Amino acid sequence: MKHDKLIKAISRASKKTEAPLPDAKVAGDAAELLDSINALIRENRALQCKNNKANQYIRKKTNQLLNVIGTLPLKQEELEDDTLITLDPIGVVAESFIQILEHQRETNKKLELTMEEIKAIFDAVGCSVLVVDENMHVQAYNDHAQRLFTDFRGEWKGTSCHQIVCRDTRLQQECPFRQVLDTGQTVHFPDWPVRDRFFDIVATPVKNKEGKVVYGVLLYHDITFQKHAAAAIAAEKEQLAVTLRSIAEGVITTDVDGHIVLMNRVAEQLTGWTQKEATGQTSCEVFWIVDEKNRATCIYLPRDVMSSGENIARTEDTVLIARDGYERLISANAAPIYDHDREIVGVVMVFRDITSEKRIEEELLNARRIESLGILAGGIAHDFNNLLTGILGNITLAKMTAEQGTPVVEKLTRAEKACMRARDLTQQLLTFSKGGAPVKKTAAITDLLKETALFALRGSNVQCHFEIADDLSPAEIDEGQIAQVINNLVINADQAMPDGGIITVSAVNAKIRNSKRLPLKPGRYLQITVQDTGPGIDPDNIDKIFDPYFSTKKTGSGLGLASCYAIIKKHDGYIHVESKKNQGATFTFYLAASNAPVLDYREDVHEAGGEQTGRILIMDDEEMILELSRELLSIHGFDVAVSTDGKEAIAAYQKALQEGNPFDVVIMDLTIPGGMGGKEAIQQLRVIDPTVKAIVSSGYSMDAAMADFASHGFVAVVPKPYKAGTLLRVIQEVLSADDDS
Amino acid sequence: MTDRSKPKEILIDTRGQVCPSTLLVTLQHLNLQKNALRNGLVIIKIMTDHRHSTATIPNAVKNMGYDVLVTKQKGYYEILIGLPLPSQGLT
Repeated sequence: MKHDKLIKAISRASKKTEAPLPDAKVAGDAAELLDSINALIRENRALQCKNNKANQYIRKKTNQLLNVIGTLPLKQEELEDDTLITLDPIGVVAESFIQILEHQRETNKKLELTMEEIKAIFDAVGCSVLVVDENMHVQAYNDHAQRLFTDFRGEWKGTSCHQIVCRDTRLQQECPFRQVLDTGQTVHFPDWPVRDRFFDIVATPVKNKEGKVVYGVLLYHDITFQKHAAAAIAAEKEQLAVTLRSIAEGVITTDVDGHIVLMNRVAEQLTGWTQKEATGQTSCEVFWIVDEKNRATCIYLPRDVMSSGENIARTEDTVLIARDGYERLISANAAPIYDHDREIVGVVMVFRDITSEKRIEEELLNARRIESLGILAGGIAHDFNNLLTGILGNITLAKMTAEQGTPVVEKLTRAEKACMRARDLTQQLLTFSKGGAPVKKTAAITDLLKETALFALRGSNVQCHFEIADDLSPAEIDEGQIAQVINNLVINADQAMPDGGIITVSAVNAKIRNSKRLPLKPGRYLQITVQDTGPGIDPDNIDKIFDPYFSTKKTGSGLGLASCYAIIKKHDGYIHVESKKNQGATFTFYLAASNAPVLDYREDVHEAGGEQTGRILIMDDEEMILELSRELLSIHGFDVAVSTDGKEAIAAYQKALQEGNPFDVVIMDLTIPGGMGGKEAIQQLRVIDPTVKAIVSSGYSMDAAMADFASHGFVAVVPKPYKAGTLLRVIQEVLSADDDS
Repeated sequence: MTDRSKPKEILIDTRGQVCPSTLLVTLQHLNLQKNALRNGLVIIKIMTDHRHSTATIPNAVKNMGYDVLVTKQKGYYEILIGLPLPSQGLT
């Protein structure tokens, strides 16, 4: 073929861009056509080149986009150029980017909103917030922080937080944020002092993707006020606690269910529970109170207060039984505790031990009872003494008429002694009743000691030894009362030794100088001791044994030793006791020694002297006394007149005076029921005759006129009942005093 | 009414393909279903056996604001894409 060569050359040139274009020589007669074909090939080659560049551009850009989107680049073999155009990866990615951008826009909007929210929170939060970087330089802060740390005037951002907040190198070392940096954890310091303030600090780390702390958010909550308030509350609480501890009442508070919340020391002592043990227990468990009469159930005060909403007071019949079973009478008040809204939030119970108050009250009642009994006893004693005077007088008269040395006289003498004992008994009655003023006389005490002690020990298995000094001084005493003291001490000692023992009664003269041990004025005394070999006195009781109504004996009145104390005190003496366990007890009392001569009260009527002369007026409401006295004195030669009351006596005295035949002696009873007694009559008699010699005679030895007769205008006293000899001796003394004057 | 609790599931099987082809196919469908996806009417389930795609596809679709869940199935991975995805455990 003529153009085969040409066609092959054109085909080669159009497929391979580097192949040469066919030459015109090869074209021959088709040279003109070849020019056109070559022009087309050149044009095609230019287009192919352009197309390749465009495809490469698309691939390059596609890969860039794929890289941005985070995936691998396109591979040539994976996607042909033709497919590249068909698939349109740029279009796909671009369209995806629209979605990405839309999403980012939405995200941005949300972020902006969140930023606003954070800013608002940042500023609204009620504490100071600092954001610091890893070098502790402030990156952000809120208004609150600026208001809190006002003394820093410079630019906050970029400044070390230490310069703004702490300013203390020591604190810097312990800095909360430093700890956040070290630990990578949130740290909390509830009580962090910064200069003169206190903060609750929370430091939280902000970490990057690698977990490294890049920021710290520091929250400063100023708790200075709360600290001060807490300190004030603590102080107030302490003050309240001290007050509660100091008051004498027990205080217990409970919650609304009656569980113990608080109790003070007194409450602890009275209940036997400690606050620690009692807390949370029910009221009845700890504060076990019962009605004294109905002991079956615990009185549940909190429940009663809660149900009534009112205060409850129990002032009587309430017994608190302590943990150890010890019982106390108490007075208790319970009241609701209200909160600010007037809601009851608990119950407070205040109570005190009134056991001793009650005892004193009872003692007072007892004392009043004794007092009334005393008045009664006094009256009875008076009448009794009158009767005894009658009996004694008649015995005396009978003895006078009897033949001396006969058994009758002996029996009458015994009867007389029994009467004297009866008199002493009356005296005791009076001493109990009103502590009878002692009618003192100078007396030797030896016989009194012996007789009284032996009399008290009749029928006892206890031996009695006497150690009485021969030269024992006499003393100014009321014999009846001192006999009572000895009687009580000996009976006490006897009762202390039910299985027998020895009582030693000793008496010596003693000289007391300025003694600190004994509350006695310096001077000469008789020291009288009653010692037993019994079990001794319990040391707990030794201080109380002289107290009225104190007794360790079941049947004891508690008056024996108390009256001993009263009697010795009235004698200006002193009594005390010494005792050691199982070594017996020693009671010692002191009585002032007397220089005056002893008057023998026991002298018999026969020794009183013989025939007497003188006019005597006797005033007494007791017919028996009048008759007896008249007879007795008449026998002894006196001229006797009688009257039954003061007025009659005054009239008789006045009449005798006017007639020039006055009475030498007037003997008057102190009290005349329904008439004028001796006390009033003597005043009038002294007006009529200032030299009147009146002797007071009464069974009321407690009357002051008996103890201190002289200041009442009498010249002598004869307590009833008396023996005839006593009366005669006193009359003799009065008459002889008259002779002396 | 459209039941929003049960969105339509569109399954795209790209097994045998590798990145970026799998991603481009996914993006193509996300673009196509954009409105339905954003309204929660459809979710797209991609099946791929190309491990790299389990990273590239979630990265890209998260940036577009979709939720993604990748689970391993027998011989392939399943990538769920939706807004939101009805199931729990979103990545």
